[in-house]
Amino acid sequence: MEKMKKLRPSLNGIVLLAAFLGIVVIGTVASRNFLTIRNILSIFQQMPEMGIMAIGLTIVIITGGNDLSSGTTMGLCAVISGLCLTSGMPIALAVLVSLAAAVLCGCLNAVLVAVIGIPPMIATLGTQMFFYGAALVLSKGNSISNIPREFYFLGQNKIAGIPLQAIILVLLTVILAVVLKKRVFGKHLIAIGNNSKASAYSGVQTERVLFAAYIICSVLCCIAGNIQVSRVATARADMGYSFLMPCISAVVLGGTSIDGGIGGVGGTVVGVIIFAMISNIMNLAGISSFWQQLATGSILILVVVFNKITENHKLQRRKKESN
Amino acid sequence: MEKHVFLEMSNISMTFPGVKALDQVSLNIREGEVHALMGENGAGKSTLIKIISGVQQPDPGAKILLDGKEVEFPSVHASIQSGINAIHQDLSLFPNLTVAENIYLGRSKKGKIDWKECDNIALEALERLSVQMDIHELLGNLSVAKQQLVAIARAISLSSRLLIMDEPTAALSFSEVRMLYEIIRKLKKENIAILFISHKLDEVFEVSDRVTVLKDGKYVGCKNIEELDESMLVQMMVGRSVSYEALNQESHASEKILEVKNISREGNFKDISFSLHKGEILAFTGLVGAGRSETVKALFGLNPPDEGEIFIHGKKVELKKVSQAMRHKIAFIPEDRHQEGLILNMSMRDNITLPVLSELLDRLGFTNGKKTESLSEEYVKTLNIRPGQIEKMAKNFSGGNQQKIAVAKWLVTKPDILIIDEPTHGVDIASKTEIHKLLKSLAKQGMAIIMVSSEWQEVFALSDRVIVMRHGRIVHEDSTKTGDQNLMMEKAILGEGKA
Repeated sequence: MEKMKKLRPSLNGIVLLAAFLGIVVIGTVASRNFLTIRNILSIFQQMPEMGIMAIGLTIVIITGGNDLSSGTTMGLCAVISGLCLTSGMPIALAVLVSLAAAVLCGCLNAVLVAVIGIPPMIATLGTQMFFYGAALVLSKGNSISNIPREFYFLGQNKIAGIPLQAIILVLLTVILAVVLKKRVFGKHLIAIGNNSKASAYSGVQTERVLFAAYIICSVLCCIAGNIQVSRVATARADMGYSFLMPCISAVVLGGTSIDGGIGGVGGTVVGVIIFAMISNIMNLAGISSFWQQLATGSILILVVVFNKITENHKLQRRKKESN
Repeated sequence: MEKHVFLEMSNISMTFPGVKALDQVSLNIREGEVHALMGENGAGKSTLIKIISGVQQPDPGAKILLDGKEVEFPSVHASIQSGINAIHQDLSLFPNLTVAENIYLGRSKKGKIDWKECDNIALEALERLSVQMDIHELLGNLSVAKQQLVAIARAISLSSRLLIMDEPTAALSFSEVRMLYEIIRKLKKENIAILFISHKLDEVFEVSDRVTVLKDGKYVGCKNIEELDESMLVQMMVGRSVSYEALNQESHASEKILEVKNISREGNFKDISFSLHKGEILAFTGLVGAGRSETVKALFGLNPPDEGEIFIHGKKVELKKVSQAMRHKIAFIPEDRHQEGLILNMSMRDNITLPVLSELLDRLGFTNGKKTESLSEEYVKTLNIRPGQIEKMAKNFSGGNQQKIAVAKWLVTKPDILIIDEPTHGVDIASKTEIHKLLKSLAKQGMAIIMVSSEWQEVFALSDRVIVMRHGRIVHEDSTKTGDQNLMMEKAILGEGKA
């Protein structure tokens, strides 16, 4: 019996799956080219960057926080990596330098949020601008080209026909999903998101856990940045700048509560894929990008409204039962 | 000369899931009288006030007569219409509006504000209280006492017949309290009745005409103040029907496990010293705000003392963090289950295993489902938690079972010292008995227990020794078996001088 219950998918999962399938059907009807291997591969070449950033963001949002600086962290790391690569540094070292910068970014966020106690929205709004500014200063506002060819493997290689970045995304998602489900750290993340005071009273070292969460998020942004640098063979400060809102939307669409405590990385990835498919279908059908925003927004609102209504319904039923 | 009774309430009951907050309580209010509502924590005073002021609805069968006519108070608006105004402890005012705006609020017609009328109403109301203040000052800039006056002015400007105040003097200084008494007397002359909740006996004897006492959600009695003296009132609140049997017979010549020497924390507690032995239950009692919870939190690293020393097993220890306290095998079950004790949106299994999660791993370092399951099942059985579904979310259990989950969560850490703050607050009678039995058997097995409790019955039934606190200091320490129980109560309630 217990086993059966575990297998029963959550309501949000069903809604998400329905939305996913609905869009696949629409895409197939709208364009002959949608359900072709070439097209699907092209979706999976572009979408992992946003996906990797979004799963990192999920970890922070599960703790009841948020990281508005994730987009510009990606830009800053891209610029740092680009500068190192063009200066002739070995590739591994260049990537390491950018990862170190990401760890520093995450630490700064965590210090503001967990140690000083600034609300995450405000703290990361500040660091968002700070990181963007730092990236602009470092790159002098220019795009950095002349990325060495040896670095192209990260964003342009395929293994058994599958883009390398898609494999990286799947690996990271599986790792984080297991961490959330099975590791003490994951349980602590969820506990803090539900009630950080009670968690602290239970001996959870909330500061340490939050540090780890923000650092993980920044590091994933850095990985996304490196992939994009490799894919488009340039590095610019505004890389990832436009990713923030779609990523937060995908996290929410994927069933993670913006208040924290509930959620997972799997749903987030499906959310990102849904958004990627919408823009892909519209491109194939030759619909202007103005309409893409409209469609993405509508899907998000519909799913969130549906979730809220069913949740209220459940609450009322429980009240009736207890009476 | 008896004044006319204008509000009569009878058969008022209020059931929350798992707890009966009020059980067939009655209350009547005469015109222009000052009526005190008394009782220990959890007696149901606040719930009763919420029913009169329309915030909550009583169970069916309640009867409320206003001027002889049966009425209902389905909303706050309805009770204000009947001339009943309540000032809650948080005052419910708006700090970013001016004094005049706060008094006037909610009265503008068609969304238009008549600023002249606004000023006039405010000035008039303050004049009735003989209070002078700048009505254009922002409320947030005023002292708590002045804010309270604004709340009173607002209430009487709404043509009040009955003014309800929830612990009005809790945040006031001595001279401010005197000022409030003056105002209460003034309102009485205007024939406005006042119902107030208080824990302070001297205050009740000073201003009130009659007293209604509640205990455990039940009506104990209503008396004219002339018929009472202080110890009679204490008896009413505490209840006589307690059989103080000696429950822990064996004498405690056992090993000293904890010694606290002169710890102080600015604004919390001062110069606290005591010791705790193996197998002993030590009770901390006193009134709300006496510093009991703050003191015991200091032992769990949540509220570290500024000075003083703590010794465990004779060795001096630092308790600045929860993790340090846990390493010394101390456990703490807080009073507030919902905010501090449990994580309501997580399952019973996750709650019970949270403090020991890192000990329940398999070889690869993953949390082991089988281990957490069997551990949870074990404690569900020992504590008789119902229903015993370990995947059920903590929020879906009754108060008594939630408390058992909170206890289980700390028993899994196998503590040497268990600190429990108000072990049976808001818990049904059956669970209460079970929790009491459990604490006793834990002590018998050698655990040292510190219990904070405001319930005398509980203190005397369970503990071996009792420490009475008042204003952040220890005022009395005694054995519950040989000590004079009335003396302890009086020390807690009246203070050193009068006992």
